[in-house]
Amino acid sequence: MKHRPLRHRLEYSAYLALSRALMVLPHRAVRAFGRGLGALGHALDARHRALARRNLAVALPELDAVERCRVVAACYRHFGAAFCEPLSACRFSAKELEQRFRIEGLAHVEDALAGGRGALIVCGHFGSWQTAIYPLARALGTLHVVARPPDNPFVARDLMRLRERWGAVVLDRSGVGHRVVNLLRRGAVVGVVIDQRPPPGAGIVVPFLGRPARSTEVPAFIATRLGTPAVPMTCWPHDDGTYTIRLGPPITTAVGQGPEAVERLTRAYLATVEEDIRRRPELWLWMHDRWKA
Amino acid sequence: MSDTSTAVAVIAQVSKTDPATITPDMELVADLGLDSARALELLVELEDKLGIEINDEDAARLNTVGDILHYLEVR
Repeated sequence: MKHRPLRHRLEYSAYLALSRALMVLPHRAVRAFGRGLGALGHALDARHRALARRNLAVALPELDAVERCRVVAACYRHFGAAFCEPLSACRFSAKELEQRFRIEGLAHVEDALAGGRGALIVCGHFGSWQTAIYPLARALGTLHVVARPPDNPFVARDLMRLRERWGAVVLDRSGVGHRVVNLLRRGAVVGVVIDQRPPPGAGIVVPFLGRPARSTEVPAFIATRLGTPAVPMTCWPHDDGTYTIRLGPPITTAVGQGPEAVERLTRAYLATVEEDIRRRPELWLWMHDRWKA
Repeated sequence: MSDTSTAVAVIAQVSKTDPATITPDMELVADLGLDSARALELLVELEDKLGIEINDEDAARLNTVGDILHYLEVR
């Protein structure tokens, strides 16, 4: 991380002003504000808008040009809302969390934990995955999540404090692999986002939405070494400010298999994200250069 | 096989390096080219082969071959 104290403080001031302002608005208004921000981004961000349309054209060729434009515009609006809503949802009371978040399939996590090797929760940059941390952590007691912290240390500290309110523990993804192994050995639940391009030189190449894509194999490697099941998770946002969190049947593996098993499992994890993307493409992050060589 | 020999064999296997060329001053990332996934594989493989469990604090300090060998000596 570059040491930029003045810039960091200015950014933090802007972040504080925005986040505290959002906290006095009703949640639906926060989402509407976020969608507006997203629409503004769509209008101004020509580079990523073009990238998103290119990604869509190759990944979902069944969509025509008009439909691709519609999906990309909706995608920007969605991610504007997805950026703002965790800042609003962090103030929810326990009762409001229960009212707004319907959790389906929590028993799958309990089934996964029954094996005594912890449980991974795998998801993509899809829907309202960040907001799901609060109700899931509350429902599970403790939830460790692997995440990339913002570059700004002040913003990172504040976001961590907000995220950890309901029992989530945020782990900086840099070099965190062995810590995850030790947590799973002790029966923890660890959430990982699996669908982005790893750093240059890392990862394995597997098909993703029909094209070869370098993808992280670390969750699958850990699962094969420990025999840890992975539970796919999706958080679907609804227009009325409520959410449905859907946890799927665990993807299991035997202990100690080799690189072929790691690849097979990585593909299986990504397939769960692909299924969601095909259902609601506007809820996935098309602006990311996912297939960059 | 001693813990040291086992450790060098594991390091060689994971980094795809000739064990004869491995020296204590070699850094796992800079000299042996381990990325985060391979570094994780190395630690888990060492734990399996030696029947040990490396805690988080110790794992964070293992940056060179010498660090690993020293850790195995004093643990």
